[in-house]
Amino acid sequence: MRPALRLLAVDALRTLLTRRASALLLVLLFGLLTAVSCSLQLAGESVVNGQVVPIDNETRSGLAVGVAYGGVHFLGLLLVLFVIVPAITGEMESGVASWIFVKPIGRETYLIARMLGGLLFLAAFSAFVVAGLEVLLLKYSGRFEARAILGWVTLLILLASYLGWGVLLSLHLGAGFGGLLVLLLAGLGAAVNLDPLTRILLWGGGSGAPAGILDAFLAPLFGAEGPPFLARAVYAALYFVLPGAGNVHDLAVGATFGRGLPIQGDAISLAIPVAGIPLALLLSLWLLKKREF
Amino acid sequence: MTGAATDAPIRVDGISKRYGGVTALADVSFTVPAGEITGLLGPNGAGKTTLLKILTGLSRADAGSAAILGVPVSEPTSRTPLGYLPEVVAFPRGPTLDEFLMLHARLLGAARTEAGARITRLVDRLGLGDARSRPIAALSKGMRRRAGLAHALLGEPAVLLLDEPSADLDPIARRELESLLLEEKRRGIAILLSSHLLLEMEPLAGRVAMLHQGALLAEGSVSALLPTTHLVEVTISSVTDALRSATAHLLPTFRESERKMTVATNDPALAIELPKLLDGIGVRYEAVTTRRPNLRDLFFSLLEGKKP
Repeated sequence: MRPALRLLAVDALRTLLTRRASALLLVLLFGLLTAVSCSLQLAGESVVNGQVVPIDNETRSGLAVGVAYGGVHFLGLLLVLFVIVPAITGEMESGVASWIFVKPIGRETYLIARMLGGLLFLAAFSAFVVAGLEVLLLKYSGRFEARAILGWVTLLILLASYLGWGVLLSLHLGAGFGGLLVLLLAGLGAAVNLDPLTRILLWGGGSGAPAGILDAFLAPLFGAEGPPFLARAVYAALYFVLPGAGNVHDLAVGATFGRGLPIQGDAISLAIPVAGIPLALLLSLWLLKKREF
Repeated sequence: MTGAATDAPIRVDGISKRYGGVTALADVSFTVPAGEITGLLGPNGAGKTTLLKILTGLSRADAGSAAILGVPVSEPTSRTPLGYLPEVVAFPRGPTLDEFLMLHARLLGAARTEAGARITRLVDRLGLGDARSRPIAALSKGMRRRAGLAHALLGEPAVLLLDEPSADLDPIARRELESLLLEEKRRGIAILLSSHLLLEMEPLAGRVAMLHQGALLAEGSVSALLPTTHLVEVTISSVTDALRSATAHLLPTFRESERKMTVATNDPALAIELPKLLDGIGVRYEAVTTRRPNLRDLFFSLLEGKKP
């Protein structure tokens, strides 16, 4: 890695870690792990396909994963919006970044390094929760869940896309929303509504909802036979349209390990936010190169 | 442009810049030679900071070109030999002076041990030794400016751009700054120093570029620009209309400011004649003195379109 890139990225990480908000974050993370631990000890019943069944270990594990990833996702989103993006753009607005811009260091190096520092910060805090989750799962179910690591990577991809769009939006609202519109159209083109804003609004809430909430809602309406074909089709559509609802769906049926993860595991779902990162970055770099200080 | 001018460490060639309807710089051209302190002079809003920002790559010119050691300022490598002190010194919250300087020395390519030695040398030279472990953003205004100067000198630059470096400095610190700049000048560095304090520049600057409302009024060595005439100043308690009309008749080149009336002359003997003339028309005066014109006189005379 180029020395300037490394130095600036490490400096950004150090700055973020030494902020007062980071101490508060640590408290919140311990709170989150407590919630994860509680969800693993949950007793009670769940409604699956209209049937009332006791909550089994599989459901508890799914719920714990959902709580952990939902919490990390939500906190990560707050960190991006209220800590990392203001730290980067505030440096430019206040003139602090000018100390760097008057050196033989390209503005692209500066921006990539600062975003990399932010991403390292997000990786560090989310790794703390994932590690805690793994320890708790090991303790309660006796197995190490390697796929949670994959979930952590996909979560980081999503947080990186938020970071990219956050920086772009703070540099230029029009360019930011323009880029998001491109992504939205790309998502619609793929018949999947995966634009980051929808994810931002729905995923956090959806994944934090109690397991089986949709089934619990549907069961009284359609009885023990379950919903008719049309209702199932609407439900299936909801699965795609509302990522959060999809997560709840997963939790309820215990179908895939995708529960609790923002990305359900299909390639298109992953491709849209992955494509969004370089798009947001390129637009941000273009704007930053044009900007005068 | 002469051969020497083309080789100058700083070359500004026909730079123009507008902000909306406001002309910040209009076709400004000059050079800054090595081993000289060039004063970039002019009142607030003359375009000095804009020009320095263009030279550092923080801003872009609408027209014209500029180069540092022959490299166009649009190239990031043009900033390799550059040390810059901005007018508004804003530091990040959090790092200490030492941490800030270490990061920036390393960004300039210095190894950690070499950077540490450089920092020690600079903070001692600038009287910042006691502030090394203090948060840089919490330093006093004067100390922050000295810290900014330390930053500008970190890379042992060949070209130094300083925007109002003496602002916020007390008289002692100003004197130290002057000796530091003269020392850097002796090392052969090209220094472009912007200031609106014209008189303050006189002992320092061998050359000046004077700006007003974005236009270059004059450029060259101070000795060549300053006229060889003498100025005879009459200090009086109040300048009345009667006095104006009387002196306008006697001395049509009289200029007045506050309680002084000044006439430019090639005849130093006028200082002897003038009291008699004033006595003759019944004007009471406090003093009649003779002095050589300074940069301030030059600036105002250029504004008025006449020699002092």
